Amino acid sequence: MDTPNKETTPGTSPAPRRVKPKLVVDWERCKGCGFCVEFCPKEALDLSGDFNRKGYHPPVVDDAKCVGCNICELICPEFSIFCKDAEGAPARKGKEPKKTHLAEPLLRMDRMPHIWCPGCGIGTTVNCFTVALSQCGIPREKIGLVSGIGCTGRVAGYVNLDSFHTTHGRAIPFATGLALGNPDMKVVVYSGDGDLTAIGGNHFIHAARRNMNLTVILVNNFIYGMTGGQTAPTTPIDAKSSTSPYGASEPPFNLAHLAETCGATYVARWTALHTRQLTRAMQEALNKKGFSFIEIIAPCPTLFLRLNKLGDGLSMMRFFRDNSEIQNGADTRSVAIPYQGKIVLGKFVDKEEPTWLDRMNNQMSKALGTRHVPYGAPKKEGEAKS
Amino acid sequence: MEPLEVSAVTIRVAGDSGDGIQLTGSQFTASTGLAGNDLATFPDYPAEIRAPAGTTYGVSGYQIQFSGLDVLTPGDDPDMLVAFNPAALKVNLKDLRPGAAVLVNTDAFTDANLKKAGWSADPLKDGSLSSYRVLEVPVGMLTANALKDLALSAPQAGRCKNFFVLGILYWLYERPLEPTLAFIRRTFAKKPLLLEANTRVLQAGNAFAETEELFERTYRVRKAPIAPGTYRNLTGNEAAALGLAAAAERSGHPLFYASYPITPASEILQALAKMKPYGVRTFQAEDEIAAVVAAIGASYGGHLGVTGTSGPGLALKTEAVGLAVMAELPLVVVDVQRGGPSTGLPTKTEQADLLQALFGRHGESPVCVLAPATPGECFSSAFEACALAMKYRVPVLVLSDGYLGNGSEPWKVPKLAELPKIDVSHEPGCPPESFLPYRRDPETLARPWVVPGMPGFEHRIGGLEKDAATGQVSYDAENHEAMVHLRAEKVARMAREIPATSVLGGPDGDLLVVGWGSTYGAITTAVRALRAEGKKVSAVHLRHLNPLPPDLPGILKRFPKILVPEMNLGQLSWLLRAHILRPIEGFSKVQGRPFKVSEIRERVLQSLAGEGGADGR
Ligand SMILES: Cc1ncc(C[n+]2csc(CCOP(=O)(O)OP(=O)(O)O)c2C)c(N)n1
Ligand code: SF4
Ligand code: SF4
Repeated sequence: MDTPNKETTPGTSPAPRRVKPKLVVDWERCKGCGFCVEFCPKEALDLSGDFNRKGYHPPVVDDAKCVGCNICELICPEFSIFCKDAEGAPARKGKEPKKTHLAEPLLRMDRMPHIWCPGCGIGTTVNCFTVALSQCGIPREKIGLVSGIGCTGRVAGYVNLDSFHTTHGRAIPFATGLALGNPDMKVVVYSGDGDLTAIGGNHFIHAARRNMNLTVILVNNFIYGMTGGQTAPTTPIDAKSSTSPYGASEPPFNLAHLAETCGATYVARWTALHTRQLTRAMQEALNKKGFSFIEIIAPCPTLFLRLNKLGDGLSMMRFFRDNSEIQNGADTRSVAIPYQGKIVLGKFVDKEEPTWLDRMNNQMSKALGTRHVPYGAPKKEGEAKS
Repeated sequence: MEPLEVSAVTIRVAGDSGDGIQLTGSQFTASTGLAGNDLATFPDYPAEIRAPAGTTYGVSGYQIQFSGLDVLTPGDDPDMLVAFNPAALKVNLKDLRPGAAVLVNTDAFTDANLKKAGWSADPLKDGSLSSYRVLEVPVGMLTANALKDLALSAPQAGRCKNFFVLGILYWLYERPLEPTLAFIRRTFAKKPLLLEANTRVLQAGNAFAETEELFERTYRVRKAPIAPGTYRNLTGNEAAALGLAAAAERSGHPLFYASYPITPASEILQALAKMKPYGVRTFQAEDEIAAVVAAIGASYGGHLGVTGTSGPGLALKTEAVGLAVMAELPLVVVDVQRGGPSTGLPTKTEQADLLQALFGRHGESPVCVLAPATPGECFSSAFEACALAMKYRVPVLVLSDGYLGNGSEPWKVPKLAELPKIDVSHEPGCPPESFLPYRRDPETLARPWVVPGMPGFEHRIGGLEKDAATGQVSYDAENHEAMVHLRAEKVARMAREIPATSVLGGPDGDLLVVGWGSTYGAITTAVRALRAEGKKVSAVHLRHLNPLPPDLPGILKRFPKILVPEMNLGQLSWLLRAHILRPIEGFSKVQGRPFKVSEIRERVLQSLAGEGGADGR
């Protein structure tokens, strides 16, 4: 970034037992969506009257009110706000003092600002994902990330991981090949609802049926974002899209139910607002063997919200706050999402089943005994036999 | 009578697909290989797994030519046709030349069967077979006799009748019974009754031929002077599977073969699935797209990623092949071509995917294209494809076809250690700070094949255009053009790997026949015969379709006439005209069947006589 982080003025309150972390706002990266301001539990933030160079109003912090809860850090889709441990703060449970954004070094900050629109929820989900990744205990080089095509598909380009940006719809089969060849890797698929369940729908159901060892993170914005707001397999009846100008008439998928009936062993749904739960779900999914699936409901202000006159990203986040109902363990048959209706969230499925590779290895051992050599990672450099 | 020495024999066995025709053929082939003859086969089976019995479209056939000399084709017209029923006779009679022998199973020549096959009168009685030597054998009845005292149902006994015929053929051509007896012992090890029944019927057929006057004498075909070594009779699809596995072994990279079943390519997946104990990894995907993309995923992960299919499947894989071109990852695609377009002629052969293989993608998307000429070459082609794909990090397409895939020939099993070692490096060649995923090898232009899981070398690649220097996503106009040229140049440089083209016959002359793929046997046999007659005809056979051999223009220049026979409407002709700017005479046959030697020979003579048309097709 060309402008250095603009630190806010230190607070004046008396020294607390724990030195309060300080909020840092990257002034130029902000796109003024207002998420941080709206969802700060202490009302410590407000949008500034000043513009940044892109013409947005970034937030200003009232340090007296901020308690360093990190909520804004997780919810900001632009990675433009973070808590920093104050100079001389006592070490926290043996951890290094926190100096940077939670998402670093798993994000390629040099690629910011990203392509997503102001108020788009995708950035928030990536924020949660990087935090989940850094806390899940899996070393970075053991993670592979695969995306399809679409706005969400761009995630592959922003993570500091081995990642691959496939063609439209084909993230799951690519990830399958990668995961089968490299069973010690955790392969994550990160893509949109159209990519994964329209053009890639066949791969989705079969990977779930096989219980392939993949974590599939699907951002559901109810529409095709990248191509201009056409109807997706998730567009609710009555919602408008650029190809359903009078309202969609096809019944949409209930993706949680689809995944469960096809064989997924972990199914959860959260919204971009539920950052803490989402981060936890992502951690669980990353540590789960088998086909784990997380559906994230996220605002697409540029298309879904605009075409349906539902306001901006912040309006949708408020809608999530007011209309979500957490029902862990809910029967997935009952969790379809009606247009502008109640959104049931939670962890719906979490069970143990052998993966494709487990089953194949068992079968082969049954048939061949010790002659069977289980799949392992290919040899690295220097090990090739002559 | 004394055995009659003959130099080559062609036999065709035909009947309902339920008659065990393919098994009869493959058993005869195995015994013939063990008897020391050179051979080539052509299984020709209907698309319907079980078409209604006795109908002409349910007829399955298997042809084999064997000889003491070099055999390159399964033979033009059979010397002997075995017809299990009237439909088989109806379909195959037109391919017989006068004087050929026809062995018919008279039991099947009932009024109902004759009618189903479209005979208005019984051909055994109305003289329609007068120009052939007809051997009438009540195979069904004789088989039943041989099994009289065994507790078998009539259908069970009926299913043994192909072995009775096999017994007759073994006597006629002096083949040993033992290989088939051993096969029976293996197959029916747990079914003593069927073991006994099949053994008896084979021996009964053999004894019947020996004692029956109908068969005057045996035919003797000398052993072929074959170089010593271990031989295996092998179909092109089996050879391709072995070639892939061998390349995996010689490169130290596990083979990951992902495929979706499709005739006539499925046998490759089946053969490789059996090799799982040897480290081969197979994945039957939900469709062709998933298969090729999974192979690319595996390749990104450091495997030898391969997929196999036939024409309709190649069409589905199109977009993903482009992805591998863009991501510059190794990928091998085996296309066992069949009659098209669309579902077309699933079980018949054709060479009409050449231009699809070369150009069937959007954008400038060059790939390397190879084509084996014989079933055995499917091994070397597959091996070469893997080596090239891994060295240059480009997709390599191998164009086999139904005729090569199902056809077989004796194949000398190479020693693994004698095959070239395929050196592949995953070395980034620099410390992590300066690692660039699109930095190129100056010679091959290949980018480093760094696999995921190397700390510090995490990198992001994919289908979007990349900056030539940094490998970051780039929409820059000049950069895109430079990258288009780079990718084309990389494939063009693969021409360095092509050995000098060998010319059959003189280096110049009146006419050059240029072929590719499975037409090799027919072209070579025809050109050898024409040269023996004193004609100044030569032939070259292309195994590399993209890039083309660099010495090809020079060779073509030395002949005033160039004839290109192909099982399509002239796709190689089109390519050669574009590349070499020479008038080309095309010769097409698109009947789902391979060329006959005689067809090529006649067409060459026509052309020499100036009857081919200047640029005819
Ligand atoms: C084969 C192919 N067909 C169509 C497209 C165009 N395309 C790109 S992204 C997309 C839809 C993306 O929607 P979704 O997966 O919901 O992702 P979002 O953009 O909403 O995140 C389409 C149709 C393409 N790139 N490739
Ligand atoms: S959440 Fe981020 S982008 Fe949105 S207003 Fe706050 S700082 Fe700006
Ligand atoms: S179009 Fe929609 S989904 Fe795409 S970046 Fe913009 S807001 Fe996000």
